[in-house]
Amino acid sequence: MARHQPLELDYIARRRWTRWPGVVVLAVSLAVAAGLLTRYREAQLELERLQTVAGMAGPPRPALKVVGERLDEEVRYAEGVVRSLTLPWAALVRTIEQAATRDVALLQLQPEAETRLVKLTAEARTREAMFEYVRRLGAAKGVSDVHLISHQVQRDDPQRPVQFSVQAVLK
Amino acid sequence: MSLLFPERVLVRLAPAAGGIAALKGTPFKPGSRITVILSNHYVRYGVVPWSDALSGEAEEQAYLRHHFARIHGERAKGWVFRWSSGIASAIDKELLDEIRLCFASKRTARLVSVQPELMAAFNRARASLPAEGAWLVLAEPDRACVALHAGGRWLSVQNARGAWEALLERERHRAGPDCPQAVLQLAGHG
Repeated sequence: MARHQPLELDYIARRRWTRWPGVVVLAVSLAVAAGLLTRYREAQLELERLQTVAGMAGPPRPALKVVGERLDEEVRYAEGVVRSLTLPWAALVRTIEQAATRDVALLQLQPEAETRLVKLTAEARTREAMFEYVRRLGAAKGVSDVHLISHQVQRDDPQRPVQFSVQAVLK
Repeated sequence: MSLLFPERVLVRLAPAAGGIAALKGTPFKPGSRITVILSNHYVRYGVVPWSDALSGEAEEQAYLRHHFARIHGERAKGWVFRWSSGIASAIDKELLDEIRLCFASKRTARLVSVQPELMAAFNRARASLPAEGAWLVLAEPDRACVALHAGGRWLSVQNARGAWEALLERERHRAGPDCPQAVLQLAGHG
């Protein structure tokens, strides 16, 4: 079936010339709609960008947190260094020299500036030498509250030395 | 009556039905939409090619007036014209003004369309027109309109007094043997 154009011979409702304003209005409307659509998309993109930025600024970022924790650690370390530098190293060394005997060898010295505790690890030829060392350390002027924390006979060694730990408070 | 869907009324204006006087005396519901179908007694038709040089309604009217004046002479000066798809129609401007006057008051029904009967009948029947084309016949008492529509174009149109059979025979003879053989008698209003 062929498609036949309708006849438009109406004397009230005009067809031909009045169509152009409609076409113009349609074209303008389409242009405005296209513009609005473009602006809408741009606004959406801007919104997404702002949301992304807000998301970056809002919750704490793990990377920054790590950096912050590292800074805190470094600060604590620096403070520890400062405190350790403020330890009375000279008095401590003199005290340990005063307590030293020929039967005790000092293995490790661990001062803690924050708590002002000092932990000594040493090895004595005999149990008696160990007690003598603790007694001499307790009598020294630079430390107080000297306690024997632990001691153990080194059975692998044929001379059976005693390894012990002493804790004292720095004055 | 709904404001969104007002009542639509078709009115056929024909001399046999009382003409413009009958229209003036017809009561319409206020707010209803009136379409006036003009009997072919009031209309002249012509096959007129379109001119791309036309750029406005005034030029269109002048162009069509010139065309109808060559056939109908000085009478065409008082006509108003319409053109569509290669066919043009002309009616008396005075008749159109009188019809408008019938609906000039805002308290009456609203005139939405005044259209020739060929337009109304063709638009109703165009979906069922054969592809190869057909003779279209609109018969009224003492008047007939015979048009040839083929290949999507209007090839001829005659609107004359007399019986439609004679007019159709004459037109078929003028068109020659290659023209479509189908004849559709389009139902008019009323």
